[in-house]
Amino acid sequence: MKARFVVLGGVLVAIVAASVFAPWLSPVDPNAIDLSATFQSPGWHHWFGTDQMGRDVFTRTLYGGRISLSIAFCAVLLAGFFGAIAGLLSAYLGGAFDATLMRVVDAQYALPPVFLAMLIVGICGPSVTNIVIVVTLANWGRFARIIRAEALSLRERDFILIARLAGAKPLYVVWRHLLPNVRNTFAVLLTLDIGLVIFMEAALSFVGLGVQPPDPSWGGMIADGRNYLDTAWWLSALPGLVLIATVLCSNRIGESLQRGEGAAR
Amino acid sequence: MNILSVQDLVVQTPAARLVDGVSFAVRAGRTLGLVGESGSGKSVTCLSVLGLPPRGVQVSEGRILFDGEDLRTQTPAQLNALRGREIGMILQDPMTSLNPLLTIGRQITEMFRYRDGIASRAERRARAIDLLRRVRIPAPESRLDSYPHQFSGGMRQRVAIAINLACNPRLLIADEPTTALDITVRLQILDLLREVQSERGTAIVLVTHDLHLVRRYCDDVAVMYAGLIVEQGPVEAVFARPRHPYTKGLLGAVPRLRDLQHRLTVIPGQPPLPGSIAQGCRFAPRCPRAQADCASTYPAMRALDSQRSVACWHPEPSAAASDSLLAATTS
Amino acid sequence: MSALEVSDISRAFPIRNGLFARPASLRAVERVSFELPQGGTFGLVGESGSGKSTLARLILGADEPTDGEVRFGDRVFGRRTQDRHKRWRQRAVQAVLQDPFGSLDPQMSIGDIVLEPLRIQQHDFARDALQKRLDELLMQVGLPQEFRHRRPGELSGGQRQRVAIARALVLEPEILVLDEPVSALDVSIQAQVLNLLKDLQDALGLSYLLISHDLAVVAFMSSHIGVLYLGRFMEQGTRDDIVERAAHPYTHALIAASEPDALDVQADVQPISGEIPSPLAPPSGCVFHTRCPAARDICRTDAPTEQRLSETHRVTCHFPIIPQV
Repeated sequence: MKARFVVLGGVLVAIVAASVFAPWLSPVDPNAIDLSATFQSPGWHHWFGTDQMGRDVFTRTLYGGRISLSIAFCAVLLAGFFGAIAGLLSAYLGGAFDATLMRVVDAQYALPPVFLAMLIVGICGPSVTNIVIVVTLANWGRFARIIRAEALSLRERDFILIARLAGAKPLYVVWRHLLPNVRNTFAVLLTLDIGLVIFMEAALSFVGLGVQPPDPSWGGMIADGRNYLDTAWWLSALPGLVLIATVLCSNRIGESLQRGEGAAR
Repeated sequence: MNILSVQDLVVQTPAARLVDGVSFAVRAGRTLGLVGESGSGKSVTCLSVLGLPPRGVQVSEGRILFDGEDLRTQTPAQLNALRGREIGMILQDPMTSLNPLLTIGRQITEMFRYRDGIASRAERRARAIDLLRRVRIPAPESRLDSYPHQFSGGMRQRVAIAINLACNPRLLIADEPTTALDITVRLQILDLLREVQSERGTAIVLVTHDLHLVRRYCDDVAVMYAGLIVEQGPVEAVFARPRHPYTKGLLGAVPRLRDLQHRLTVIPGQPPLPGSIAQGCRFAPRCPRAQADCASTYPAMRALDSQRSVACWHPEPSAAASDSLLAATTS
Repeated sequence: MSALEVSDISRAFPIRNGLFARPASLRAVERVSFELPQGGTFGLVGESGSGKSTLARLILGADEPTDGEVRFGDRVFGRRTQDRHKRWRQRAVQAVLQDPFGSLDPQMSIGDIVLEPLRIQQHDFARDALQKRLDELLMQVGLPQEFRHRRPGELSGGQRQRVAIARALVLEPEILVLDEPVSALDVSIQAQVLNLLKDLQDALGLSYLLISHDLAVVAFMSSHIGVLYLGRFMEQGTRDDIVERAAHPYTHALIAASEPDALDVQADVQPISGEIPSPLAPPSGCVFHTRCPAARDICRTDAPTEQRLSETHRVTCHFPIIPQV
């Protein structure tokens, strides 16, 4: 069990590290066009081959990873932070606040991220910041709901009652008792969410609402390579594989964390 | 004639031996009480006899003889058949033995249909109503179409007993059947079991921590501690003159209504964790009578007479009157 | 001099059976009155639906009564209570609850758990003063000093209850409300904790309100006992009044059920039949009449009023069982 964790972690760390150290790993401009070397299949000079404009796919995959991963991490942290606070407040305050917030969360669930993206990109134009905003807005509800549920069941526990009977104020209870006890769930949620968010961003870029060309992104590269699947499969397949590997690894790690947490309880 | 005879049963997980060599037997028409606290291994023993050990737990040694046949040699299909007909079980929480999605009537008649092949729906219903009446559920005709959650805890246990009755089992294993019920309902359920027993000669193994119930409903008792039986014999004899210090301590720890104690007998410390392997007697660290040999060698079960046995190097003297349940309730 | 006096206290919960049904009311506690003498133990015994936990919450201040009042000395707590009285209660009345697993925050260390009420109420304690108090309390409840760094997950049920008791003592209370404090524990551990509670009461002069479904535990600990059924007192009196001279059929049923092995000796007492009715639909007249072996017509129609059998002994029954002397 532990070995698997190490392997998965290793793969994920390798991908992230590769993206971070992209300029050193592949000191080539990802947007450099070389029309004399188009559609080269993967080989010694170009590990992942080149695309229709002669750009090195490997370099683009690395740089695309930088963008995709940083969007993902930012969005997950923002969604997690705001979602968790909303969930905790909702659970503790209850009443009208809780009811209203939960309806807002319902609305968020009901709205497909693509529509939200179209709306925001349509109004504000495409940019990395706007994608982060879109993905955060499309994602915070999960955290709010799950943290709220956890906090609700905690609220009924006797140790909370004893603290309240001794005169503890609501903010004290949230800070001293609710927060530390939802920490574990929160950490697991964050890990599980990364895969989801990477995928969401890839999907948005795939339909053209995400990272704009010529900047590379995994989703965008997969989209671009669609038309050449039978002649230059590596254009979509290789970035696609890296995307899948990243998402799979982070999901599996999240699941093991979840199970590990379960055992500790 | 022993309906059930368990010999040298060992049940373990990869990390620990939960039951470490347990032997007991039950005859037709008699009830054996299996008594112990948490961690004693009494529930695991029962579940293992039924062939339903929890996940990760395995029977590794010993024989479980039901009517002479070793259950450990049976295939899962054979065991399943046995459990449906010859061996019944009543567990603590009847919600887990009743399907919450089916009506009571459906669950009972299902059995008549598939096991007994009774084709007529009317007849199946009639039999089910009869069963419910037998366990004294009021207005059984209307209750057939109710779901388990619409019954109270006591009623659900009656239904569980009814389902067991339909099988006419020779052996009934009841694991804390009344612990989750209100006090005034407990006796009704156990009286019902006793009636069934006297009608059909069923052998019953009653697992419980409640010593009062053991004294009223059991013929024999086996006291378990840390995965082993430390004392067994007829209930009256064991409770009147317990020979093992743990049994004596346990009996003294129970508060009595009459002849009130000023302080309860305390067994200091805690039971050992399953898996902590002790050299000698497992009770020695807490035992007021422990001596040097207790910690070094394990005392095997020794017969005191034709019916009683105890696992102790220095058992309580036989003549001593005991500070026990019996003293308080006979006057 | 009473530590606690409860007068005619009631708690009803409004129940809505759907949008169009008439609002009904769950009368969890119905006109209950009793006194807890200073330094003594009042034992409340009852099964499910008896309202005993609701009563505990009313006395602790976790809930407000719909009617009646609770008096601690000359401090009155009713539908409107003075703030200073509430602050007093936050210190002087503490609780030890049933679930040893739920009553301790799994994320906190034992030391922090025990000291928490002190930290909540007072902010100006020096670290070593706190440390000393902690050591003192751990010793009083029989736990080793080094436990202060452990987490609840590392302790057994009995040890956790000791921690809960230590926590309940940290503010130097006068009254402890013990709600099923040993029900979740093994017999031998139960004995340890009950003895400990008795010793602490003697040493610290505490008054206890003990709530349990186990009549033997209540009889062991209490000087006075009250028998609850569906939110109403059936009988109350000193321990001997109840155990030796029980007058209510329900008390007799509880006694029989608590010591069933004595039944064979006392052939005249039979275990009662039937189930506890739902508190949502209590029977008419005397709420016990549906299960009472001695019920007569008047029991179905008229609720009995409380009778005094002696200075201490009161019973609510049309036909109390009075032994012929």
